[in-house]
Amino acid sequence: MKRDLGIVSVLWLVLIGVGLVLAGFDVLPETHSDKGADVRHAWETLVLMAVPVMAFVIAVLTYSFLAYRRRGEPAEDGPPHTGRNWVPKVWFVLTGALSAVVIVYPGLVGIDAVMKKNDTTDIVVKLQATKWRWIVQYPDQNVTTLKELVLPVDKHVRFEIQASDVLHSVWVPAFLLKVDAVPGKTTYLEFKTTKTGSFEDNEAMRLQCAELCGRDHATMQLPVRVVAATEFDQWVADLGGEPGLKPSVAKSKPGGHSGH
Amino acid sequence: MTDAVAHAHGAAGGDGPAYTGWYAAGRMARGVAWAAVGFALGVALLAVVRNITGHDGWSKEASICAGYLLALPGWLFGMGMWDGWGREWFGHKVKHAPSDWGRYFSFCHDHKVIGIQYLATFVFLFLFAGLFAMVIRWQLLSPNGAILTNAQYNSVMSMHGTVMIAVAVAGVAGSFGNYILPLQLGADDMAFPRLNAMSFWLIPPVAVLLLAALPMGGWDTGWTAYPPLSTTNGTGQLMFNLAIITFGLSSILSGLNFICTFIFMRAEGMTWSRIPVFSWSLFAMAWIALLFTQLFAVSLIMVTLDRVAGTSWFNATHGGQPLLYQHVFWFYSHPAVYIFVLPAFGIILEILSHLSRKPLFAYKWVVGAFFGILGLSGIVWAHHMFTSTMDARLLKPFLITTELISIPTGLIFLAALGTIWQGKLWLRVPMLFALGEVFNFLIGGVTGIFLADLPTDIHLQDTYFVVAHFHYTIVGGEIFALFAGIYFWYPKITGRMYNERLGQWHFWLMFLGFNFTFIPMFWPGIQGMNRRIAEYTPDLQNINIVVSVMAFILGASFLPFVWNMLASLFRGERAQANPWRARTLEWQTTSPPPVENFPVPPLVTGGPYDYGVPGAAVHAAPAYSAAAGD
Ligand SMILES: [Cu+2]
Ligand SMILES: [Cu+2]
Repeated sequence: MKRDLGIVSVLWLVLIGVGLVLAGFDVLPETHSDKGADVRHAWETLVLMAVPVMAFVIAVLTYSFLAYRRRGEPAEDGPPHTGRNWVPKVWFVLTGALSAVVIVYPGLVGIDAVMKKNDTTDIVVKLQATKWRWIVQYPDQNVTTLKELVLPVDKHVRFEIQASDVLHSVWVPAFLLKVDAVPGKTTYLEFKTTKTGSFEDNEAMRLQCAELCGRDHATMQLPVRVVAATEFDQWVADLGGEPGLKPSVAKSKPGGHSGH
Repeated sequence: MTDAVAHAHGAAGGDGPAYTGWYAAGRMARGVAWAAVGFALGVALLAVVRNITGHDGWSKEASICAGYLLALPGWLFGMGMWDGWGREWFGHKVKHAPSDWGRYFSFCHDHKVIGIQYLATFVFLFLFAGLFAMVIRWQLLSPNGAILTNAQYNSVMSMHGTVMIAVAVAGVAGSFGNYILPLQLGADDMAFPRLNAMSFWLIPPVAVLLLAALPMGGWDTGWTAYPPLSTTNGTGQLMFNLAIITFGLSSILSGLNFICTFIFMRAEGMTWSRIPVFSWSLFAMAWIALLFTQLFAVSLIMVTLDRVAGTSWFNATHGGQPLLYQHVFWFYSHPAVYIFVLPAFGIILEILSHLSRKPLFAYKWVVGAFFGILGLSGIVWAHHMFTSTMDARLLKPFLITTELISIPTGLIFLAALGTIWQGKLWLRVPMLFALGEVFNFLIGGVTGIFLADLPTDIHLQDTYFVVAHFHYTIVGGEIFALFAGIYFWYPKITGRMYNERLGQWHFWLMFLGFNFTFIPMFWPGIQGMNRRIAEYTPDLQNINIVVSVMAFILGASFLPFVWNMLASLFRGERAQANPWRARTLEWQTTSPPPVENFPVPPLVTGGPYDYGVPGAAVHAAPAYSAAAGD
């Protein structure tokens, strides 16, 4: 028993080491929004919590598989551990504590972070989802386009999203954010752009419909560009709009990632 | 005792004449004919009503619904309900199903026959829907889609998902639930044998409707059928709706039957604390099937009414609420995942105990965990809707309840690990599948936390991360247990032993093929590949090729399985009554058991898992000496 526990503990530590090395690899897309950074942080926290738990189960499973295997039919019975002792109670308390931690952080704390509303909104973009394309409108700049979604960097953005036919979903993988477009109501996504970039360099910089909407759901996408403010103004001017941002202080409008 | 049992088996099947298979073929033909008459009658009745109210007589979808409403009872009565119920109502003598091989194709009441009917049907459907998976992986070899148009892809993907969900619902519960539950409880049949046969014979119409949808253009909504897409697409969707409503009816009836069997059919001495864990898992599962399935049916009836009757449940332009569907749908469809995995947990814990020669660790905690899962399963549904823009006040409560499920699930892991710890592991094929299941479900469970946690879900929702995750829970968690159960109970059901070497090939090919398919699949999801797409961005092609090639290996792993099952049926070594030296009751009768299961009613005197416990009583023995009757 002592020997078994010793070897499993060593194996557990080794696997935790392996897990931590693997956790070091960055698997998320390059992140271009402030809330995306919150998502990234939640991800990294969960990975760190998962490593020792997975390592424990795999260690016991692997060791048992290798150490307790019998050639042919076992002649005798194993020791009669029925579990009518303290072990399940301790396990119950430990798993309970662990899920309480996950609930509080990154769970509840993270919800507040990613659902937060902008204090001031620098730019409003209306996204109209319709089978199977996106209509992008900038009401303050008086620009409408079907070709791409362009945003100025380091600005607070509000998407105002509508669907004209069926459900769609607004997802920019490089923002790590997503919200559905629902017929009959306007839904919102508020965040701040944090980094320039474009679809040409990074396929995650695209507006992708993420809710099955029929035939061409897969290709219901639009290139996204996050650019410097001056470049944004130039782009607006090129399309015959009115350059310049018109920041607005948040009223009682619903924001974050919600609808009404 | 063995002799007496074998003797009784030879004389089995005394009720009902020994018909040939022609009887079964005739009943099926009658079922189809009566269904056709019912369909015509339904269409005609609707035409009359519509004419009276000043409409055209024929309205495609409404007429199909009306016809189907009468075609379904036509099929059931023609197939055999008339011979039992119908004749009895009118004071005639009841006719029984044949007792030779034709009974497998008949309206037979024997729970063992029904179990085999379910098993054969759903293994076939699993392989069938697996071929669709191969087509999907072929398509995704190229970012522009290798073989299918977008519309074809959506149909193939929807068919794969829908049939596999059906396999997940009834594959384990329908087959082993029916075959094993009465045996483990020491009963001679289910509580309601006729209802049981009806549950099974509701399945063929489901398959026919789904197949009939294909020439109508299929349906493109996946198995989730979200409106308004599902209220505005082609008629294939209606076939899906009718199929799933029918399937739900079958599920509900089975659930009721399992519950009553569990409570009322136990042998003498089978107290609550002596019931095997697989039976407990079925009992917990059955409550979900009985209580929640109706919600899925209701959601699809509402979709159907929007389509055929002009209601506006989900039509926003007339005041409907698309999100309402998602609440009603997931109110069933989250608990449904526990219809899948609860019996799977039951099977693997059963096998781990018997083939480790150790008691099931923390037995009572496991039973408690089953009911913890059952209770929590009903209050977590909205975690599928974190990005749906439902009322924001719901987010935190549903995050909390969802995370809590890891506590009872953790107890299942404790039981699995505690049972094999220091055991004498007999690594036969069922044991390999059981151990593989524990590993797979670990990955399924841990990745589930990333989806239960809103801050990560908001990125991962509707991506291949979700696809990889639910394949880990459903295939890794349930289908591995299905195969564990098939190998474990094969000798009991067929009376023959499967081929061990082929079985080991199957396990290792499937285990490695499965993990090397679905571990890499998390990556494109995280990187920006959403699910249910016929095309994707070119940066993700390499990883998709890896996934596809591994998926083909996974697909190939079922070839040795199919060969093994069929060849062993004829050439397998004769199985003894109890090849695993297991204590539970299904092993205390012949392989296969006689019609009445136990020639002498069993008397239960001890726990089912007391391996190595000094002085433990046997689990069960015949209630009185069998010699007297020999
Ligand atoms: Cu879409
Ligand atoms: Cu769920």
